[in-house]
Formats: sequence, structure tokens, C-alpha cells
Amino acid sequence: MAEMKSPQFIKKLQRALADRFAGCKFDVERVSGTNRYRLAVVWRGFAKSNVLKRQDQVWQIAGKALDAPELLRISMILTLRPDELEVSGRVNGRGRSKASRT
Amino acid sequence: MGDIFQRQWLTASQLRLVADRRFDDANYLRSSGLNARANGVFYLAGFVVECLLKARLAEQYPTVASQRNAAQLSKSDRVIWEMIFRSHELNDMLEKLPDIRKKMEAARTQGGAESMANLNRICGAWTIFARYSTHSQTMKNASHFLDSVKELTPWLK
Repeated sequence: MAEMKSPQFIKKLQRALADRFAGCKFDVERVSGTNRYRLAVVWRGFAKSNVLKRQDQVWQIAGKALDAPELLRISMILTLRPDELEVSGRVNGRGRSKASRT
Repeated sequence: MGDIFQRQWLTASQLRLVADRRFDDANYLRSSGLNARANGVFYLAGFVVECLLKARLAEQYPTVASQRNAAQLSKSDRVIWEMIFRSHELNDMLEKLPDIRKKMEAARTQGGAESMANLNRICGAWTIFARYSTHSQTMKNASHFLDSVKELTPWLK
């Protein structure tokens, strides 16, 4: 994802996530042609092989940190461990798309 | 009996019919209460969402959905065609369906934002790899996941 200046509500979300996932790293991307954003949270402490639990955690935090209009502007929150980032090579949804086609 | 292994090019209404049937399958597995059946519930529940998103895509992009040969399409239409007929990537499908988000935005005082977050959570977690996984989940988690899908179904139809 490209470097970009994030709006306030994204910073607020990042602070809330960083409080819970100490030392995590973020990548933020605006969804082209929209006012929505994708986030990637990379954290060593994410449980291995439990993406569901990670998604439960980050969306619970987002639900508390953001109000309804802000929450609607979050398109996706990827949750990755650093080793998964090395494997996928990309921090976005399309990084796994090809692999998931049958 | 029909040949269930034959490839079909499904319409939006057929995709919704399949979604309903697979939801019933998942619900039946849930009723067993067995952790051994939990992965099946997870897989089918996500597949229900996949079918419903594909149905929306097929309706929103009728020209693409009616094309049997992707080579005839433009590059951008080919991406949509792949989503309808090949892909299982829920996040990508959702991003091509802004009308769902708009509907939830319009209903944000009736829990639309929470439902959108729930949909994002499900699309972020579920992958086709569930059907190959050697890891096991619990029926408690699977049941919660299926309930989340059930709550979302009206928004996706």
C-alpha cells in the first residue's frame, strides 16, 4: 500500500488498535474512487491460524473506537503476522486472491 | 436425479436459491452439536455469503454475467467475470458492490454500521481454504459465525 496522509478517524482507529496490539505496524490505503479505507495491521502477537479470532478482535475495537459513519468508511482490516507478510509479499486483499481461485 | 457435477452458469436467483440450500445444510450440521462438524458449518456459512455476493454482482453487471467467454470482455469486466465465475475472495467482491454499503449507510440508525462491520469481519476471515483445513474449530464458534451470516442475509438479498 502506498504512503498517504490519513484522516483523523483512521488515526483514531490506529491508536485504538495500537493500544491493544502493542508494537503493531499499519498500512493504510484509500479505496480508489471512494471515501473508504483499507487497513492492514501487522502484529507478531496474532494467534497463528486463527484469522477469525483476529477479525473478531479488530472489528470489536473498530466498533468501539469509531462512530457509525466512520465505521462505514472502513472497507477492510487485514490482520497479518510478520511471517505471513513475508509469504504473501503484499499487504492487501489481492495478495491472496490468485491463491484462492479454484 | 440431475447431474450435480455438471458445470452450470447460474443466474442471480439461482445463486440465491443455492445460498438458501447451503444455509439449511449448515444449520442441519449445527443441529448435531458436534465439534467434528464445526468446520463444515464454517465452510458452508461463508459459501452462503459468497453465493449472495455473486448474485448481487450478477445483477449489477448483467452484461458480464451473461458472457460465457471471458476473452471477449474488457480487462476491467474480466475482473468482475472472474469474481462471479471463478473467485472466492469475498473482500474483493464486496468492494465491487458499493450498493450494499450504501444500503447499510442509509440504515445506520437501525444498526447498518454494525452490520457492515460484521460483513467486513466475515469477509475478512472466511477463505475457501476452510474446506482443506486440517485444523478444527468448535461448534460454539461455528454457530456464532452462522448466526452472523443469518443476520446479514437480508442485507445481501
